[in-house]
Amino acid sequence: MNERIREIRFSPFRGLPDYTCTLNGKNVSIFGGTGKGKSAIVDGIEFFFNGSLRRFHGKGSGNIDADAAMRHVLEEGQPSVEFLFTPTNESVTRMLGDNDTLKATHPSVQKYVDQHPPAEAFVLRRSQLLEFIHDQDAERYQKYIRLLGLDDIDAAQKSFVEAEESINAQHSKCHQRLSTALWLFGDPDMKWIPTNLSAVLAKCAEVAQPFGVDILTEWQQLDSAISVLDARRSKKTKQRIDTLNLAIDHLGVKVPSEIESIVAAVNQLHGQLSKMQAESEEAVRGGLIEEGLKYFQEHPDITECPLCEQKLEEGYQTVFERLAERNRALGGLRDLETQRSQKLDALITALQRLLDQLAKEQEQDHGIYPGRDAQELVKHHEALQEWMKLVKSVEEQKSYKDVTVNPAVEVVRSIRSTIHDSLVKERDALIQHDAVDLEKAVGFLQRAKEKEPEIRAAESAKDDSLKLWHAMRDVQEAFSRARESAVQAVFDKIAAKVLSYYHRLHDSDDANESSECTDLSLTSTSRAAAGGLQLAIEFLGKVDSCDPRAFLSEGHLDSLGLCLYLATVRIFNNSGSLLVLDDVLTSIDREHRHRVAELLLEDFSDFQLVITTHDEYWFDLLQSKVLARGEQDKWRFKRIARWTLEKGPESAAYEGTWGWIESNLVEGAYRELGGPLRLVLEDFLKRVADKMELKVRYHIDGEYTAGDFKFAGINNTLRDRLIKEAGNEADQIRRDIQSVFGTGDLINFLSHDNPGRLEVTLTETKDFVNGLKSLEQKCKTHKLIKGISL
Amino acid sequence: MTIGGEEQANPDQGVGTTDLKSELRRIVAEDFEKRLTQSQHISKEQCERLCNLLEEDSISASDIVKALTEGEESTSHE
Repeated sequence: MNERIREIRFSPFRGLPDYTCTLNGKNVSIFGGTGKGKSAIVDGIEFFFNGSLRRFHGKGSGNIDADAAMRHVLEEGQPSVEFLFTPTNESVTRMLGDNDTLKATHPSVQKYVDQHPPAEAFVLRRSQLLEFIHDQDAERYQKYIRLLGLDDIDAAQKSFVEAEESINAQHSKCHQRLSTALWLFGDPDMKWIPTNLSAVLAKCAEVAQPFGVDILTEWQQLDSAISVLDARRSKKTKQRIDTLNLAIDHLGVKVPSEIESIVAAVNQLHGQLSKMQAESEEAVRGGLIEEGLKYFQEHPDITECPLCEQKLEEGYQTVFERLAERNRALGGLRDLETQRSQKLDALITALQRLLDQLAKEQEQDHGIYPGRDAQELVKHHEALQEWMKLVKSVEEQKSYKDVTVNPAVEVVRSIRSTIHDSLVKERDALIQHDAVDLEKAVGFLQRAKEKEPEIRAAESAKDDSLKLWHAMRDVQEAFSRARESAVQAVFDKIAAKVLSYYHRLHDSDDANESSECTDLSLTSTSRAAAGGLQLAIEFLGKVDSCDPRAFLSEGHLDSLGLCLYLATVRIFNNSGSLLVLDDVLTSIDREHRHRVAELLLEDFSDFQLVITTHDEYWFDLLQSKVLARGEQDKWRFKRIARWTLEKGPESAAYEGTWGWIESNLVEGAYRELGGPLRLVLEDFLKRVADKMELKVRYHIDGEYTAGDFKFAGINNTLRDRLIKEAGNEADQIRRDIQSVFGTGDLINFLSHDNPGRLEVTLTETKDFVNGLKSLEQKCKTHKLIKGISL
Repeated sequence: MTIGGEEQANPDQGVGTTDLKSELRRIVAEDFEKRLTQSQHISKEQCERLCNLLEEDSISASDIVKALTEGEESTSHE
C-alpha cells in the first residue's frame, strides 16, 4: 500500500467534539491518563473501517443504544470520522448511519480501504489480549476463521456435513423398506430371514421341490410352479385358503412397535428444549433468529428490517454477521431441535406405514374380517388419521407440548392380532393333515409372487442409495480433508511465528530467564460441521502438548496473547496497513516492554502504528528506542494533558517533548514533568556520551539512566570539553553544568514515583530546563552531540 | 502447500486476508478435485459439478445433493 494516514478528524464523535489527530503519514504514540479520550480515538478508527463498534453489538452488549453511544452528549450533528491520506491528499469520511462500503476517488486510497480486514484484525484492545488463550477451542476457531475471513469455507464444510446426513437418512429409509418387505419371508423357527430377492426365489424352489417343481431359477417360472402345486390341492378348500392366506399376510405386517418408544424420546427432547427456553432468553428467540438469518440469506439486497420496516442503519453485512453469530451460539438448542425433528419424522413415517397398511387391508378385505372387528378397524383408522394430523402440526408449529400415543394404536394392534390368530386357526382347520406342507409351499409362492415387484423396487432403491452413500462419504471426506489440510497449513504458519515472537520476548543470555514455552502448536480439530482450534505448548521442554494456562505465569500468558495477535497481523495483514494497539502493555513488566518495543520497531516498520497508553514509562521507553534507532522522522509522540466534555482532549497539538515541557513549566503543572524531563536529559546524555566516546558501566540490557552517566563523570568531561571549545563562555558553562547536574533534588525528582518531587520548586525546575537547553545548544554549536533532539 | 507468502521476496510480508481467502479457496478446490478423482464412487460428471459448486459464493446441502444425483446413473472414474 502506498497510502498512509495524514490526519484523522473526528466531529463530533463520542468524547471528541471536534478533534484532529495528525499523523503526517507517520506512526503515532499517544500518552494520556485514564479518561483522556484515547479510546475514543481508537473507537473512531474502528468505526471508520467497520461502520460500527463491535462491543456495542451482540453478546454481552445488553441494552446499549449503539447509535446514541456514537454521539457526543453536547454536540449535535451527525457523528463522522474522516481519514485524510498522503500522498494523494484525498479524504474518505464515514458518517453514522452510513453502512456502505467506503468509497474513494483515487484508486490507491480505494485499495487502501479495501485491503484492510475487519477492524478486529488490526485493532487490539487490552481487554482482548487474553481472548485467544482463554477461549474454548470452538470459540478460538471461530474467531480465527472470522479474523482471517474464512467463514465461507467453514459454511461450505457445514453444508457438506448436512448433505451427508441427508443422504445417510435416505439410505437408512431404503434399507428399512427392503428389510420390512423381506421380513415376511422369514422363518422364525429357523431364525432365517432372506437378505435379497434371489434368496426369496431360492426358498421358493426349496419349498416347491418336494411337490414336483424341478426347476425354479427364474421369476418367470413362478406361475407355472404355482400351477404345479395348485393341481395337487383340494378343490373344495383351496379358494378359501388362498383368501385367508392373503389376509394373514397382510395382518403379518405388524403395527410398528417403535411408535411408543419414539413418542417417549420426542417427549424427553421436548422437556429439554422447554427447560432451555425457560432458562435462556436467547433460546426463546432461537426460531426467530434462525428465520431471520434465512431471510437475510435469501434477500442479500434488503436495506430495511423486514419486521419493523426501519432502515438497516448498521448495514446488511453487520446485521447478517450478528444474526449468524447469535445463531451459532445456539448450537446446543439446534442440535436438540434437529434430534426432535428426526424423531418426529420417524414417527410420521411409522404412522404413515400403518395407515397405508390399514387402507390396503380395508380395500382387499372381501368380507373376510368379522363384521364388528372390521367396523372397529375403520373407526380406529380414522382416529389414527386424526392423530397423524396432530403429530404433523406439532412438527410444523415447533411446539414443545408432550405428544400422547393415541389409544387407537394399541387397539388396532390388538384387533389385528386377534383377527390374525383367528384366521390362522380357520385356515389350519381347513388344511388336511397330509397337505400342511403343500399349503405352506403354495402360500409361500403366492406371497412371493405378490411381493416380488415391491422387493425388486426396494432392492433397486437400496442399491442406488448405497452408491450415493459411498459417493457422498467420499465427497464429504474429500472436502473435509482438503479444508483441514489447507486451514492447518495456515495455523502452522501462525504457530511458528507466534513461537518466534515469544522467544524474542523471553529468551535471554541471562541464565536467570528463559522461555517457559519451548514449543507451540495450533491444531485444527474436527467436530462434525463445527471446527475447533487447540492451542497447546511445550513447557520448558518437560511437558508436551499442554494448555498454556496450566503452566504459564500470568505475565507469560499476557505476552503469549500479544504474540498470537501480532503474529497473525504480521502474516496476514497487508504491508503498509494500520496496526492499532490500545493500552495493551500494562500487564507486561518493564524489561519485557523493552523487547516488545524492539519487536514492534523491527518487525512492524512497514505498518503505520497507532499506539495508545496511559503508562508514561512505556511511552518514554518507546520514544527513547525510536531515538536510539534514529527513526524520529517516522514517529510522532503525543501527550494528552486533559479532557473536558466541551473541548475533548487538549494539548495534543504539542508535537515534541520540549514543546510539552515548555507549555507545562508553570505553577500547578511542573510537578508532572518528571517523565518528560528525564527523557530529554537521558536523550541528551546518551547522545553526548556517544559523541565523546565516554566510558560508561556496561549494562547487559543496554538501558542507561542519568545516574550511569553522572557516575561516569559526564558532567566534568562535558564541562572541560565545552570550556576548551568556548573559553569565553566558561562562567555560563559552569552555571549550566551546576543547574543540570548540581541539584541532587532534581536528579531524584527525575525518578518515577519519588515523593521528593513535591519539594522541588518551580525556580529549580526552570533553572534545570534552561541549563539543559543551553548545554544542548552549545554542544550542537561545537559538534559535541550526536543525532536530532526530541 | 504454501500459504501466506513464503515465496515472496520478503517472507514476512503480509499477504492480506483477501489474498489469503482466494488463495485458500484455490488450494482447497485443487485438493478437493484431486481427492474426488481418486474416488471409485464418483463419476467425472459428478466431480465436475461438485468442483463447479466451490466456485460459488455459498454452497447449500441441497446443492451438493443435487450435484451428486443430477443426470444419469453415475459411472466411476475407473
